[in-house]
Amino acid sequence: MGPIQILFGTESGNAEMVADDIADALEGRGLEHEVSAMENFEVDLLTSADFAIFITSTYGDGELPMTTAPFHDALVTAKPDLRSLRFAAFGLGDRTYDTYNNAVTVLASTLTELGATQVGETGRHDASGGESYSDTALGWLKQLLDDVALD
Amino acid sequence: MEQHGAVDATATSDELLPWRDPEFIRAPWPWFDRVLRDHPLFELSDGTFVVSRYHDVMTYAKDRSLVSVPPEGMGDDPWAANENSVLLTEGERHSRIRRTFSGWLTPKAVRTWAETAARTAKEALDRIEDDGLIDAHRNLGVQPAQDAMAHALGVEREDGFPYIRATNQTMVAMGWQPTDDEVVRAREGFGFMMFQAERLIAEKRHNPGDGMLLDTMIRAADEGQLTERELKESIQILWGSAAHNPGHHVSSALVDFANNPHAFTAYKKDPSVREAILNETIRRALPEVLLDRFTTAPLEIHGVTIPPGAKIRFILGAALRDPDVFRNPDEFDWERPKEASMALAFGVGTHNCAGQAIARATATAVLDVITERFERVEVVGEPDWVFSDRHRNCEGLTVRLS
Repeated sequence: MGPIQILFGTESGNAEMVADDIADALEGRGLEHEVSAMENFEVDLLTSADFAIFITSTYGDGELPMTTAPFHDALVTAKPDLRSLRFAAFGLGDRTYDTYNNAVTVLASTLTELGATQVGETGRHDASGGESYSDTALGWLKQLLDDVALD
Repeated sequence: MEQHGAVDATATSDELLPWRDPEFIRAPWPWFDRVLRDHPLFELSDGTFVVSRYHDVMTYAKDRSLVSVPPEGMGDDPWAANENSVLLTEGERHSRIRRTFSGWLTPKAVRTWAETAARTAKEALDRIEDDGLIDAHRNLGVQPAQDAMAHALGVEREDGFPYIRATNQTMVAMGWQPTDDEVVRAREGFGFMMFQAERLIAEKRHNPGDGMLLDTMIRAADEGQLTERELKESIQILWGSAAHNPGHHVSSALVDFANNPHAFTAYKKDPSVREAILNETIRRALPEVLLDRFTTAPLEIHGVTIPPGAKIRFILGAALRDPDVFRNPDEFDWERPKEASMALAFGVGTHNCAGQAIARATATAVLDVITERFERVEVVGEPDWVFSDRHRNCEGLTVRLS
């Protein structure tokens, strides 16, 4: 299996911190990985990836944040064949909004429509809950790694 | 008042929070406690609605229909100086302006700027003589934050203190019915900071190309992503207010440490509690006691329909001592439940503080440096606090470190 692709899309940089936390945790388990900002990642490369972890916040009225939006647009436009890709998804949001974690739902849905297979539950951090995004993300990752064979 | 449902709007309601009373301005906490207990939502005789409880502020201040500019516009309010900035714009324009600098203020990016703050603090500590005295507000609060922003912007370091005075002048005019004199001083404060912003932009245009934040924003303006006015107001805020709240926060934290030596010791010895201690200092420092928003659509709170065009005053200073969330709110307690988030201190909703990450990182860097070298802190003389009904800040704090 090739390296796990960790892709983050963000507005204020919190999803980038989650990506780094997840990368550190994978490192600790000896799992090969690469971290990329979504806006710097060519969507065609996903056709040759085995496993990817997508992390995105939600912005404004449930919109995709600054660096997720162009990546998502590229997916929709290029329509890469993602049938060989398995992926997991983690979102950062705020439960007090009706559009709580809408962006990760939109992104996961698009990836699925392109043939990718989502594994595990979509992780969701609630900024209004008080738990740090690192703790939530690492708890979610542990569950994911317990449930899914990635190596 | 029938359209509003069950809310009192009487002359008496104006007395619940006596905005211009000097004692209220100095220590509004007993008044806040009373409205939290008895009047979680009330209407002033001028039609302003006041919301104070934590969960209400957390919920309703985020409502996307609220805006920061009154329906009649800013008029000749001194704060019209920031009408073309992230503070007073909404929607796509707000996002467009904010995105020209937000990538430089992410939690990861600010680590580099915080290293500069730590260096400035270390240099200040190196200058302490045998008596252990230091002007802490200026040297540990203001200057590290100002230098951190100088690094990010790519400009020369400068004395940050004049900007504290100027920003305090502007903040006082945000208070309730400011006097003519307060308005004049606010214009002076904005004038000073705008002049400095223009100077920095002109100097950078004369000597471009370092690829730092100011250079990048000028390029964005030259490419049409920002107007000149948006650029100038953004730089006025980034540079002019870089150290204002951070300076107050660090000063307030040092007073907290002086009054709670066990917190100083815990911070020094146990890195795992530092973030929680920092959060408690932020809750207690609260530089902006309230925020005003304006409805653009009917908004229902507790069964009361607030009409479009109304002002809602969210009392952050009350919310952060709501006893349902913060037990014994006057105590310095860093072991509060994680749900008792101090996140409100940085505002909520669209206009939450874009500088939160850099403020937290520089404060952490400075407190780390102080606690690394010293065992205790004591306040010498009286701190010089600057209060209005709206804001709380510092203009002087001397401490002895030992």
